[in-house]
Amino acid sequence: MKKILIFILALVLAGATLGLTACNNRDKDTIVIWAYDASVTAAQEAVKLYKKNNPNAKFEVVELAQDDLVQKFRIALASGSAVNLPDIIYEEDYNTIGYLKYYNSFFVDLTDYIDPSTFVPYKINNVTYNGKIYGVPYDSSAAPLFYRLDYLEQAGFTEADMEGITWEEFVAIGLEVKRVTGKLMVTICPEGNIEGRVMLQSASRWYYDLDGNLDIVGNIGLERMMETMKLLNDSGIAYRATGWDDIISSFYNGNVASIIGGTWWAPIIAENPSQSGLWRIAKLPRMSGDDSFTHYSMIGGGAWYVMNKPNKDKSISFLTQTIATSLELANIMVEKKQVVPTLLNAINCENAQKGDPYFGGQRICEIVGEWGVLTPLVNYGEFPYEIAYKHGELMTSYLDGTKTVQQVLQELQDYAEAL
Amino acid sequence: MKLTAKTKLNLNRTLFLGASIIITFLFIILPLFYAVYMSFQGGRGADTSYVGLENFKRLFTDEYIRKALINNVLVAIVIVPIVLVLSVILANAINKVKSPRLKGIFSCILFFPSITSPVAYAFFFRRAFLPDGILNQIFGGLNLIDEPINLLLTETGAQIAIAFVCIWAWIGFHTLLFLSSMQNTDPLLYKAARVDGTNVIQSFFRITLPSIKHIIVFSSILLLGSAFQLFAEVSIISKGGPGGATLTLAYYIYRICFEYVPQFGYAAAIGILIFVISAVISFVQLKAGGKNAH
Amino acid sequence: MHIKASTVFNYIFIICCCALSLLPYILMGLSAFNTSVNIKKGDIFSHPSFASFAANFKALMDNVAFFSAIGNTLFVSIGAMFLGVLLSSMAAYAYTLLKNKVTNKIFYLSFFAILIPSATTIIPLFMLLQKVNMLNSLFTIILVSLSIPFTTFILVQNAKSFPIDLIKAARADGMSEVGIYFKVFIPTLKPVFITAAIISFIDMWNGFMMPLIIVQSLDLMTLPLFLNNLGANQSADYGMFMLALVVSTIPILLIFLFTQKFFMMGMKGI
Repeated sequence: MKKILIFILALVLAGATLGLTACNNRDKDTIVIWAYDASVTAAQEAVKLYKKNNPNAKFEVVELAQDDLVQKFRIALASGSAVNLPDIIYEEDYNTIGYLKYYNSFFVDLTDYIDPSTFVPYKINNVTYNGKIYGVPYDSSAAPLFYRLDYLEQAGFTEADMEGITWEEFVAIGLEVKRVTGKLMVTICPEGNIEGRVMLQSASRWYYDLDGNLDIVGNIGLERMMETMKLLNDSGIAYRATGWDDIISSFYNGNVASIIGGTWWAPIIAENPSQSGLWRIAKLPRMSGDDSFTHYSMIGGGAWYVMNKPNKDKSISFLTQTIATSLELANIMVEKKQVVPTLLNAINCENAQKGDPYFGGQRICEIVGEWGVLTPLVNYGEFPYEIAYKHGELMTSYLDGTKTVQQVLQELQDYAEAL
Repeated sequence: MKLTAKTKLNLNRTLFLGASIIITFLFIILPLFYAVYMSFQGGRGADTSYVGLENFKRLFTDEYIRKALINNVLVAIVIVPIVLVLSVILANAINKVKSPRLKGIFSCILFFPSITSPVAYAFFFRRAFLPDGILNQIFGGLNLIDEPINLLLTETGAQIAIAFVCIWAWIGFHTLLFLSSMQNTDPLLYKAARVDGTNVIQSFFRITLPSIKHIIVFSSILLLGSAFQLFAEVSIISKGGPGGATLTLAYYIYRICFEYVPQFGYAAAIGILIFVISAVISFVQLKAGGKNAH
Repeated sequence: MHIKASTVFNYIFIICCCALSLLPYILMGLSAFNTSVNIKKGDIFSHPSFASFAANFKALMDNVAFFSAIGNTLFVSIGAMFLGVLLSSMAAYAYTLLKNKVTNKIFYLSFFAILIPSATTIIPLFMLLQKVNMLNSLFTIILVSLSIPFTTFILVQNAKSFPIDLIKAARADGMSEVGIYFKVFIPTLKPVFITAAIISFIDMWNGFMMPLIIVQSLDLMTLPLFLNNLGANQSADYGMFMLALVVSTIPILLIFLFTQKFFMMGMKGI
């Protein structure tokens, strides 16, 4: 009897030891890539492309939900060793400076391998730190206005009426749309500060200035952004959403006439067959008040980074031959996921020339691609999410009327300085 | 080799207890010590350095800690008693059912939420609370409201939503605990009471409640633990919002590690805070509940 | 027979609670018969169809990650079941039948371990596991998530009512402690063992936090991780996701339905 028990306990110990050795049962030569959402397809296509010329190269593309990717990445960074990091990772531009400042040794300097002039300026700007380029820009994530042409036409408007307007004009159109169709004009999510961030960057401003210093109190872009949000809110044409899924259900149900967001909304919108042909894109409305306020912005874009691991040379070679330069890859991604390329010479690629029937034949990639060079450059700074979320909370108080613009900005400045 | 009886006994003790103790120590207690070590490290990212009690001092000045703590306490003093009371009432109701088969089926159905992963039901409830979700469809269908409410948009609404999900999830397990204890109560006690002229309500308070007192202590310790560790529901359903109205300590740890530029030292300090609170409450409960729990 | 009003109210109350308990599962099941777009619209009542179900089913069957997730989850759940019951019952045996001052102290200390919240230990645990290279292994998941203190506690409570005379007689007969454990202890406490086994299995099946930090590659994902990946992704196929939810939760409910009798017996002793 005792023998059986000892045997079982020994089995447990053996299992534990197996556990100890089970890690890294992965081939040392395999390049591990972490990506989320549409970038997963990009990674997979890039791998296919690369293997045509390098059939012996080994890759593992790990698809994760964005939150999980961020979690795993940060916890791996925190452990101090590069062992659990992937070889290549796709991460959001907002997080870049935080990573490059506080975890610099884990990232590989790609300055010698990337030609910045081949990319849209604002994306190269997002992956540059202290004059060095660390990432390969990928998704343009420009922020057009997506709108339901049929609702607008019911209210007597045309495509031309939506081109190059100000927010005040937008609200006027919205009031008429609401009057005739009963539909709300736009969704806003102040808590997540989604539209806010889009508007702020379109004003060529951010919570930091281009040198990376806090720029909150006295920032006219911020002031105007808040006033515009209040205008949208108070005019009664905006649907207050609580998150991405709320926004999605609001337009799937046809309750709103337009959305502000990144180009990556396009495939999500297009998933709903019953609204095919009814959507269009237009330039983001402009805030009025200064010549530096533009029609162009971005939200949620990302880039590919190489981690400082034994395989880094292989990773660099892979990225430079595929994502960083390949027209063919960009062309494939335009078709598959409507990813607007950031490679300047890919903007007019073959698939970008094809119209998208869902959007009434509009050549989305081409249109948005041309805005790329006009999008303002900003410096996201060290703590963009902390400040943006705090601002979202304060903005809710402002929209409810319990705080003034100056109070909000002062509180935000105090909070940001304490970070 | 002849072993003395005592040595043999000790050997057996080691054999039987050894593995459990090693595992419990390595994977539960050791990390706690490491967490204490981490809580003395400050700074962000890779440049961490010893900062003494800085992180703990910050616990007092951080407004989000205040918000989160208040929320956790609210859950503890509002939701936990509701769950306890409802579980007792429900268990009592099921106990009165004559057919054991029905009893089994009822308690089984009520137990389902307890054996479902919070990740699974949290996603479902998030969807259900949206303006076009089930909740509004039901209310609209019953003509209780004119327009769909976006429950998660307001602070109170979000709190109610989370409260509802917690109650839904926690009741089953504790109803089962109470039920099995009630079934252990000698039915003769009730018969005797009835003969004496005690009515149903009185017998509930004088017989049923005292007999399940130790379960009440046990359940409240578990529930209070859940109250202070609340995470999955707020992370998926309301993301701690709006404005921190449903922020909990555990979710705040997640946020400062993974939504902001990471500060793992501060996060560890918050973790210690949660632990200290849970431990203190449990000891108080045990002392108050008497020796019955052991 | 005279039916009392209070009995009727009783039944109504219970049935309402049960309905509320069941509702989400029914709706989840209904959603599995819908398309992703409809689910994202919140529109699950108007057009459920077998065609959508078939499409969701096919999508799920084509999803290799789903099957590996089920396999991994089964492996760790069964592993945890055996290991957990073995270790906690041995510990319970020691605490009740091999009692001395030292074991009593250890017992109280391990109860204290139940109080340690996972939020506190999870990040340090990752750091430690990473240092000894134990990450990314299913064995690690089993070892780390065994909720030994809790199952031990239940077993101890039940073992207290154990007829100690049986043990004394067996010892007098010259049986070794191990022999008593296998031949007397286990058979007598079978229902409690089943309860402990069920608890260990279910806890491991639903376990999220530990696999989250331990699993580093896709082929070792467990079901909760797989579901989380799908659910958090706004562009995912929600029809398939709902079906995956159903497939992941229903078996547990069924298992519990069938073993419920033993479970109740085991919970009695607390």
